[in-house]
Amino acid sequence: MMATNDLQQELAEQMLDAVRRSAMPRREFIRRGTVMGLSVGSLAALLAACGGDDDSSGDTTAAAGTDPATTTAGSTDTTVGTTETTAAAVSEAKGTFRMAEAAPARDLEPLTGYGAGFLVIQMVHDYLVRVDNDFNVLPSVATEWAPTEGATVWTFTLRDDVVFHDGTPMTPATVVATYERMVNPDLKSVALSAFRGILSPGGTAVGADGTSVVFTLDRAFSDFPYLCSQANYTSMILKDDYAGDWLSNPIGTGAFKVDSVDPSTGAKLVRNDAYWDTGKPSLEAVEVAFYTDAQARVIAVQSDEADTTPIDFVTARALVSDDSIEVSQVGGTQTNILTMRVDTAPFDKKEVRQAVAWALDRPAVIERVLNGGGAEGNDHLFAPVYKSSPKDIEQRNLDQAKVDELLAGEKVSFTLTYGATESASVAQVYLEQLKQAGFDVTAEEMPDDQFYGGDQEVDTPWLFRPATLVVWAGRPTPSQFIAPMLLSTGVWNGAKYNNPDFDAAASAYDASETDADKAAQGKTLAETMWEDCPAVISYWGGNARATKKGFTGMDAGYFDIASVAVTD
Amino acid sequence: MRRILARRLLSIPATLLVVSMAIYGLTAVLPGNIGRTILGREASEETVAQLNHELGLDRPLVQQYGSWLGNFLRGRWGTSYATNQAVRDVVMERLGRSLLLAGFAFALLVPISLGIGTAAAFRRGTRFDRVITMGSLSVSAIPEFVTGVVLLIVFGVNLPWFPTSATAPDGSNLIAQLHRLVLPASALLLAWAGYVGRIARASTIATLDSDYVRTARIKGVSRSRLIRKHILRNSLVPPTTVLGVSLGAFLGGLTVVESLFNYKGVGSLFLQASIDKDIPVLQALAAVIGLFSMLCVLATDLVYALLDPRVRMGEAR
Repeated sequence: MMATNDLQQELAEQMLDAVRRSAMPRREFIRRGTVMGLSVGSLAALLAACGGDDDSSGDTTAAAGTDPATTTAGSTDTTVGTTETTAAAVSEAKGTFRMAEAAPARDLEPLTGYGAGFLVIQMVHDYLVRVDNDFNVLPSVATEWAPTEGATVWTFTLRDDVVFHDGTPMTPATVVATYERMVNPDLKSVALSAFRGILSPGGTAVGADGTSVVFTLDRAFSDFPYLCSQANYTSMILKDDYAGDWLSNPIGTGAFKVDSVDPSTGAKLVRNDAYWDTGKPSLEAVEVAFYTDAQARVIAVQSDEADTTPIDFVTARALVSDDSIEVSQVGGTQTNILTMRVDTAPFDKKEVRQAVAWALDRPAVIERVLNGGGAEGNDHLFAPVYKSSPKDIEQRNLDQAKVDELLAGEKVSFTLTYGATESASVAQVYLEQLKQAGFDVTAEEMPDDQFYGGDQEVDTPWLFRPATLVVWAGRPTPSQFIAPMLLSTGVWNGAKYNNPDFDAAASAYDASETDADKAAQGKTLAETMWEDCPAVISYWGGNARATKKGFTGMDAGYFDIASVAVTD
Repeated sequence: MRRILARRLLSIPATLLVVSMAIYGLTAVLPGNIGRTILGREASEETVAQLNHELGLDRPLVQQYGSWLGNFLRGRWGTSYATNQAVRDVVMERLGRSLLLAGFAFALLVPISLGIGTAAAFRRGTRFDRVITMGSLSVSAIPEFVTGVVLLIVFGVNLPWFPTSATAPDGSNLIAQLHRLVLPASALLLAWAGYVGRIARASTIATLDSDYVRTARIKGVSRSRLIRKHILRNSLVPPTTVLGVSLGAFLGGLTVVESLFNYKGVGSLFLQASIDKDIPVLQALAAVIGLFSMLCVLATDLVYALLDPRVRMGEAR
């Protein structure tokens, strides 16, 4: 039998949930609570923690809350996403989390910024949904989302208790303004390329119910929620009247508010007491210090001047023996791809392309390029971390017998072209291994901007040389690799690959509305890439982070700063 | 003396002009397309060309330089390509920090390097001399990034006596700031003290062996007066020249130390601007550091003239 206190707690939870959903007035909550024997003070505290109350003092001594990160199934089944309420999370905000991060190379600006330092902006803002390191889509300021009309129309239902740090409420119109701003070609948003061919100006509107936002896409796109998450990092929600002045006016709805920010030195963020996610954030403050030197960042953590820093895999190995530090490593989707032009000799023969793929010793590549981090690639664009990544395709690796069989005694000569800065280390390993396997391969190294310079429709080296090494930044969905790189209409189709069946399978993948459909179409695409082999993907990168013991919730890759807490 | 000062001051603008032309020429011939660097590989060639046009990078080099120089002299230093911040604000803020670090290191370097050099010279041939000579030679041969890391590990991590980040929080008083600068200043000190000390030692030995010192001794001049009036005044001339150059070099050569100790000065800014091909920032830094170096040389000449009357007399003739 449930104890009285437990019963009170359970009933209070249910009522709080009703308050959050606006199904129960606050006055009614207090009336019923007192009938149950709860004190007015504790009820007021629960209501304050519930959020949306102007009188909320930020007193976090008792807070019942909803924790999307732990309460949602995290399915990528795109038919629906829901928020469920769990047991009360009683927490007390405490502690300052000190982050040593790489110095920003670009302006700290939500629309056009990218790279190092951008996480400061991310901690101040929310996204419609969040993605975790297993690529589950989780609710954030959107509680539900669902596709209709073959994944060409997406409806996101929004919370009604989200307010900006200056007290302005976030409304569906705010979200519409945010997305219209991002897809406006005149504003040169970084997110523009992610939405290209998917969402155009005029495609976002307030739903008929007044509480949702409806996206009418240019084409079916089953992974659209990923583009509304932090994985598409500039898609954060900004104020309706945002004027590109983030440094002087950094107002978001996020878990932390800006106390001070300087692009040269760092930022100090303080807890947003009125945060909609009740009981969060768990920290009182976050301090970010920007470092130019990676080694200095690690030393800062070792000397207890910082609590966390991103690290490379060499450092991760070295820090494993440090008892005071927790090392987190997660898989990623960034890679370096060897693209071969299927319309040009010698790569117009599928056997030659496959022979190149079988000539690479992938564990050795990973050891030398990533110092053992990352994961083996298998010549298709479904990184292991993607939910739709097929697991039952034969893993390619060095097999000299297969290379010899495929080449059938033919001596194959070609030139491998790459950018000096970004691909030299990978090229060196590939050149050695390919020569050892019997290929007559010559290096053509050029400055990166020369490699990427020229006309993309006529002569740019990275898209027109017979064999190239190209670094591809991580992407939240495989379609964002496939569409530009391998579709016959792809804007960066350096392989000049043209397979109508593959194009059709890619369209079917994007239109699939269930995980099962998506997995089936994904397998078709992966098998076709593996067989036709227009590109060799020998590894997928990853991320690593060192964090002082004494904190929970801090991972490499995608992390939710609102969930980071001091351990007792 | 006034003529020395006037002549040196007049030469500064001409030298700076040459330096700025050289820097502009060098940055112009560096490989890479600035528009492409800013916009990334995914930008179309048309967009890249448009941005280069907006930045004036498609104009003839002489025209670009003239435009930059005119604006620079009028105080319009432009906007950073990378961070979109006003170049003058960024550079001047960073310059203040670097001057503090360079000044602090210099304040440590002068007494320590001259002290060990002179002391070794007075104990020539003893074990003390050999330890100082070999020790300073060994330490100055180690690159700053090695000594810096050792200092950080020993005095920042294992013995946490000093902060590993040299940038003090806003509002810190001077003592707190200097406390954070002990390790980076020590790294600079270790790189330069041995070199300056060896010159001071050699110079002092030469002075000790000179006829006028021997004569003064025979005349019965007291030891303290002999050291103050006859030895130090003469033996300090060569190391003074090196010290003046070192102060200029401190500011221009802080890149490694500032990056390693997370100090937000001109050195770390220079590194970042080079990576980003941020030409407006690079140009401004080169001009500011060049001016500072020339002022250091000027100050050195003046001190040199004060120490050595022959210089003043020579200039007068």
